Amino acid sequence: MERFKEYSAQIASLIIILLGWEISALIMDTRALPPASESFADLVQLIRTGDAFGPLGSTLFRTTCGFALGFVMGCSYGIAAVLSRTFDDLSKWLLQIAMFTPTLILIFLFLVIFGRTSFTVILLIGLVVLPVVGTYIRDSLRDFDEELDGMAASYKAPLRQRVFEMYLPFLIPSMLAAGRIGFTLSWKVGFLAEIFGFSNGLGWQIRTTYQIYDVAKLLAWLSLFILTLLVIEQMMRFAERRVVKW
Amino acid sequence: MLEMTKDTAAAGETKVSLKNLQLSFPDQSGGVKQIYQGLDLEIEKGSFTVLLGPSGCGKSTLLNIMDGLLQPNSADEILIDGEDLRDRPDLSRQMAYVFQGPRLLKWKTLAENAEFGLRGLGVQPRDRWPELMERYFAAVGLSEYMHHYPSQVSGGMQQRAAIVRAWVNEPQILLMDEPFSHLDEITAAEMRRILVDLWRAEEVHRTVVFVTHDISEAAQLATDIVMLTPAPSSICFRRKVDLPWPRHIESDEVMDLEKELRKAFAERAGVRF
Repeated sequence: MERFKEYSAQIASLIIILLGWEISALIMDTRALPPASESFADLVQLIRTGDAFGPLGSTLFRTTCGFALGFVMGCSYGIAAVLSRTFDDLSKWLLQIAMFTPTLILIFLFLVIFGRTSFTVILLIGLVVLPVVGTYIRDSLRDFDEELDGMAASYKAPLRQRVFEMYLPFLIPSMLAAGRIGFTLSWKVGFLAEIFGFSNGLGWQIRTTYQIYDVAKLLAWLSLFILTLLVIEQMMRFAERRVVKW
Repeated sequence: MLEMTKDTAAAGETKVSLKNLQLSFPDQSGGVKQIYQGLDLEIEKGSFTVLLGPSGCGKSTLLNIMDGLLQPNSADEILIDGEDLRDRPDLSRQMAYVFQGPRLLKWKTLAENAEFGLRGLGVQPRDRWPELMERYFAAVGLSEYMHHYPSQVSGGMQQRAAIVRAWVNEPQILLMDEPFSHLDEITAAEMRRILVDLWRAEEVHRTVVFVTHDISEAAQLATDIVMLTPAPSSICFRRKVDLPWPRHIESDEVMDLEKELRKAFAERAGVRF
């Protein structure tokens, strides 16, 4: 019942947004804001003809690879920073710089230095996601209850048992939360990189429609972008509910 | 590997013997806090020994030393069944620990938490685990809750599960560090009853070393009371208790014992209640 209420509220909020869009478009009556129905007709057309899947696949591929790279590096960083104070001190400033540098600047720099390849985008996403996931994991691990270590020591639990039965399960909620944030970030970074430096992917489609001032189609591509992100986010939340039962 | 056999030796035999224990810690002011200066302690096999003393006197530290979790600065001997724990660290596998808090893993069910201890201590044969768990969860009245997560049960039930996690290993020595101090008095009284029932139910009793600063708790549980002075601690009073169970908190015998312990605390440890 609670879940039903939650979903109903979420669907209601989406309907309100779409209605607001539709009404605003009718009132403004301008090419700059076509009605939601027109954009969605374009979106349905894109999906029906299959034109949506090529760009969507390219963006998903780069984003997923970059996210996976950033996630693995971020988790490794978080664990290493907790295990070694020296490593934490050495990497602190690098991490701060990576976090504070505007993402757009990083995109330009990477495209200029490494060229306009998928590898560049994957590397870029990885490096943007790393500090976010890394700090999340590092801070979560620091909250680990030392008394549990004492309990494990008294029961002579070997390292393997501690890792698989204590530390990893403890980290799962943080990893899932960091994963959700990291994937959203990856998606945005990949999208922006495509806008500025690619000839395929969702970003490139948005740029093209913008250049020919086809706002309805631009919004259709944007809706596809957002819908995909929403679906992935919901899948991650579902996984979280399945895995984190306690 | 933990031996699953019960103690077979007759009462009166020494199970644990600590001799000339020396331990100090750096204190916050940059000095050194002496915890033990030559402490000697013997624990009888099959006894329910209660270590009674004021906070900070090193009662819990003694349990950590017995379990091999902490090394003293020096000691002439730390013997378990006549063998030195420092030469035979595997002897600590005969022991199981119950802490002040339940220290359960919240992502594991109560049964899985008990299994964590079984796996850690390497209790064999493995196919006995389900039977052991069923037996001890039933003994503490938690059969229906074995597959619940800690967050789904009360604090008292969590502590009962922690006792099962220790007892299910059928340890020869059970170390208990103020296990009921965080519970309300009604729950704590129920837990004491369960603990005594578990301990008495077995034909040959396990050795229990129970730490508390609660005189009433000591009087209700112990067969042997060891009183420690504030640090640097020494044993200032020791007494065998031969009262029958169940011991009612308001019975004359228990109240007399409490009075005696209070008096001893005041006169010998300089601690007044």
